[in-house]
Amino acid sequence: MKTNPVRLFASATARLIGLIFILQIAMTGGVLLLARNALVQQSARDRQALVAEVTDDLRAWHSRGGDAGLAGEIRERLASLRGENLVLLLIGADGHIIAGNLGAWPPVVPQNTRWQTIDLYRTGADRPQRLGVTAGVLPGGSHLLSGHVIETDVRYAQVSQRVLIAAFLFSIPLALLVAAAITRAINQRVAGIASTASAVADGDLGRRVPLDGSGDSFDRLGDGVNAMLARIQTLVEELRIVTGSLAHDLRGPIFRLTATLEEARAATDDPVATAAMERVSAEAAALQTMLATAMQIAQAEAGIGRDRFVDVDLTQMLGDIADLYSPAAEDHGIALRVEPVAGHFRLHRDLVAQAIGNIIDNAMRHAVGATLISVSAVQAEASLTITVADNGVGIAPDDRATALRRFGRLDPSRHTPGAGLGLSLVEAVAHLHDGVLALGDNAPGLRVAMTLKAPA
Amino acid sequence: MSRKILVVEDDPTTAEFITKGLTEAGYNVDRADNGRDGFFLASDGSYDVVVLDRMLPALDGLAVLAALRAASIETPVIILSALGTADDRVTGLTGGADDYLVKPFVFAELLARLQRLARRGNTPAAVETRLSCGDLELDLLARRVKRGTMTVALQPLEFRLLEFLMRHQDQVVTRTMVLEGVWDYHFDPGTNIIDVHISRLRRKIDAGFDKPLLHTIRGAGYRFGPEA
Repeated sequence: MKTNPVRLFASATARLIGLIFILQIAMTGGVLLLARNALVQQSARDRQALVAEVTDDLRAWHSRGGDAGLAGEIRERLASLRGENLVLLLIGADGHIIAGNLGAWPPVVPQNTRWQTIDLYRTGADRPQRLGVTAGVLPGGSHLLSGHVIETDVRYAQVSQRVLIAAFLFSIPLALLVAAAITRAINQRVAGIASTASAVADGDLGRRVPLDGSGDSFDRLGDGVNAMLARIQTLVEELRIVTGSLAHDLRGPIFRLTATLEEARAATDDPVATAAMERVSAEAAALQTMLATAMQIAQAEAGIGRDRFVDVDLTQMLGDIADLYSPAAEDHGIALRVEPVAGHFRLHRDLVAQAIGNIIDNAMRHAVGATLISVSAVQAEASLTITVADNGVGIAPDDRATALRRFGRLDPSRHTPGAGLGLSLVEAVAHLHDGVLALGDNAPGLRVAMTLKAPA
Repeated sequence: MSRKILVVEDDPTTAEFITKGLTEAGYNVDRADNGRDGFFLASDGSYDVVVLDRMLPALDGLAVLAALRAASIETPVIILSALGTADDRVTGLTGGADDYLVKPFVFAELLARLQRLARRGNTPAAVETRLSCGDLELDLLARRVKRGTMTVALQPLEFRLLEFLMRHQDQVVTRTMVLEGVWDYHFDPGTNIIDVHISRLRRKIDAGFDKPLLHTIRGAGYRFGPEA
């Protein structure tokens, strides 16, 4: 199945996947960044505390042994293994270096510094190192600078950053997977509801959404849909019963009416009475036709008659219809043209023929100014579209829904004969074949297209 | 010889209406108001035609029909039904009925269909090559029509229509019967579709002759034959 990229972007599923993915990535990224910052800050605090401790020690030495004592201690500490990462510098009040592993007091470090990060060459080092330093004035005027290499921390931070990026990259497919899994789970629940809805739309009114009894929101949605479907089913059945029994029950009285009329007509020679009875008879016949059509619509909409589908030769059927309707069309000054078509299709022969006939009949009666009615059939893989087009006045787009409505008529005064059931029957016949009826513009005129689906 | 008709109908108004009309038309009519009695009466095979309502007390019309056919009683049966769609009609016909009439109906149509069945019951359908009525002759092999000495040129469809009418000479045929007989479709073609065909045919075979053969019966349909 091909998917249009625009539609894919617009699809709720894709957006849901995207949203979950972005949220997950943002969350993972945020957590990783926080962790990294916390690590860096913690190690900086550790170094600072270490340096403060060393400084306090050295100050204690100074207070005991003065500049000379402190200088000895400094040399001793720098020589020891633990001094490897230390930076210490003691300068006298006059500015000369007493002891330490820096060539000079770094000019960027003020004499009183609580904590500063700085790149420096230590004595004997071949490259500058990042150092955290603190500086202060000792009693007697000499200055002490003490610090610690934090370059290793920086390297550690860089390593951890790489790890973090790797972790982040790894989390991307994971996030996608989770998003897809969540969406899939949601879609499966929704698909259950959707398939029920489409089954009901196809006429299986008894179908219900399967519930798992969990009471979650999907379950409640399904429950609501089921309640709605039960109501629809009740209404449709009531409608069927009412339409069916109404049409059925009206037959008796109409029959007795016609019977009485026939008897009365045989009993009188009075021309006035006879003429009146003729008119009543005609009305009774029209009423009877309306009832029969209403019943046919009800049955076709209910799917009754699908067992009567037969394989029909389209050339033959359209030819028959042309034969049947051409003379009447000619009397209306309209040419009826059937486009040549070849092929076979399974359909309800009588109902489809009647449907096409109804459309032609409508065109003859309502398409003012029409000179041509053309009937064509196009067969696709599993469907057949029969189009009847005229070149008359057509129907305004706003009026097309009214034209399809049962008993709907576009002539507000209802002067033209007919019950407004013609197109309703055509639509019912289309529905019987799982198809649709569409009214379109033939520019000029009306184009009625009835699409039928091949039975599965 | 008077023909015997059995009417099985539970609605007294309808039964009375049919009985009266058929008696006036010269038939002997027996009546039954439920399916069981109807089957009992019909089972001796002495009737020319049975008019059978579809919805009956005691035994449903289609069940009566099935029982008759199972007992090898081939009396022609016309089903009367208020169930009027094409599908109900086909169910009735495949159930063994010879014809099917939807209520409410015009008596003339019942009579027309009944006459056709009663006639068919007696005369075995001979293979005819020539039909005639008055001075009109229709040659089925040569596909030629002559009225008196004049040849009438007919379209193939008009020929089929005339053939149908001539095969039902002196019977009233309704518009639905014409559609069934000539086109083999079962539906109400609406407005005046059949009338237009009839009037075209009439122009060709009757125009210019003082004795018309094709008559319109108001409220019922048409009759083909010499003036009654």
